[in-house]
Amino acid sequence: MKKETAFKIIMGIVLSLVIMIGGTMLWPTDRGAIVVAAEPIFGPITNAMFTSFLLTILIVALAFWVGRNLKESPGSFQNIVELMLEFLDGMVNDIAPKKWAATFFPIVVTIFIYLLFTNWFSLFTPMWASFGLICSTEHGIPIENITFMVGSSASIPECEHGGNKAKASTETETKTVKKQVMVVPIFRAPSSDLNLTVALALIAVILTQIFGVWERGLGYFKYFFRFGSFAKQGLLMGFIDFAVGLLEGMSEFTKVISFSFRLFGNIFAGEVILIIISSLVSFLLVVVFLGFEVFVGFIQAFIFFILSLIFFSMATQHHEEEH
Amino acid sequence: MEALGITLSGLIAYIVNFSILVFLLQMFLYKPVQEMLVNRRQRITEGLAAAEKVRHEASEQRLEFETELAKARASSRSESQKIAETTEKMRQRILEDAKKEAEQVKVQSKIEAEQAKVQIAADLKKEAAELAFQMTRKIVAEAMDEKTQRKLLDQFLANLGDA
Repeated sequence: MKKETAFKIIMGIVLSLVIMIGGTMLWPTDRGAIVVAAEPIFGPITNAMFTSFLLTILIVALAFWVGRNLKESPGSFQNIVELMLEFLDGMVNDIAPKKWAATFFPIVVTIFIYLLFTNWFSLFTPMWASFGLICSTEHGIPIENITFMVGSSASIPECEHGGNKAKASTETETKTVKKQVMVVPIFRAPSSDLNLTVALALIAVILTQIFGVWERGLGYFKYFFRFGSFAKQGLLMGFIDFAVGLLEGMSEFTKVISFSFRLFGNIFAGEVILIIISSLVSFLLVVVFLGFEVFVGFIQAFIFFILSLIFFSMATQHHEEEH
Repeated sequence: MEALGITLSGLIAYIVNFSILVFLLQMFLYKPVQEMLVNRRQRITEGLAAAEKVRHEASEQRLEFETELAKARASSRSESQKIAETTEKMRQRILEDAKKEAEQVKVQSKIEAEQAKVQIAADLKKEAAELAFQMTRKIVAEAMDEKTQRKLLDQFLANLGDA
């Protein structure tokens, strides 16, 4: 009996592997181009920006719908929203000073919700990457493989952006080089666009300074420029303290980098992994990575939320109280 | 920056996008949900307070009831004790009365018996004397004079009285 079970399990694994590897052999997919920068699709609007606008509309629509249909005995969706907001509200109230909790709440919670949506959008990247505008490039899919439903091969514009940008070539070269095209996806997870992550990091860091000055006046900057230490602690200790203050000041700028690249790196890498895995094997293995990305997307949104909250709270707490 | 795709227009677009989102979510989601949660919390607190009040009242009533019950028990106990004592006294009195009466009856009957005995003895004595006198008179009438007869009779009666 046990032998039979073991045999079944082994056969199952072998069959799965055959399907996974055979699937990609039978139905090979052209791997989408991996471009760090978001590609423009409509004038200056990039695909990530476009997706971000759509997601914003989706979030607002959902929020509007939930807000208008609030019931005393909540349904399942309202329950989830309430549970999430209550949990986040609890965290904000625990971490932030009482006076500031209500101010921080909409900002940090919006960061969390927005990032959750934009991060989880990357789960669909392998699917969305197939929808896009095509442009001609040197290293792409051979033009013979493309079936045009609208337009023709003559009307393909040159790729404007990205690593695979077609080199300016003379007419003779164009004739000899086999014409290839790449698909510029219309949708792209906004978190995998550095513009979004840097923008959010800038918002977080600038608001931290604003809240700090708002609460403590210009005295807030004494934390970074510690001239008083020379008189209080002597020349050597004073100098050390002064240098520490400057380092603290610098760390405010580095926060922008750490904030933005952490999020970008995680989500962009997740997208790349999903694209590569789904072009290498089909079915089961992709599911494992999708599950992993669900987790990563949530964790990154939460990290951004909690770090912003902590920085806001630290800026609005008086340092005398901390010691 | 160019290679990474970071552009000023991109940054501004996202900042504006985010600001609008914060504003709209605050208006459509956070405010109504928080208001509702606050209302619900308040209602729950009120409900809990009401429940607590009812519980308190119930416990007070129970305490009152228990006190009343204890009082009633104590009074009924003292009542029954009184009744038992009265009954006992009554019993004692009845017994004593009965004893006294019995004693009286006994004494009375003794006296009566004594009287009857005395009466009987007197009657008997009288009858015996009469009989003896009659007999003696009959027997002695012929042999003795009246004086001797009387003397003999007195002697006889004296002897009879000693016996």
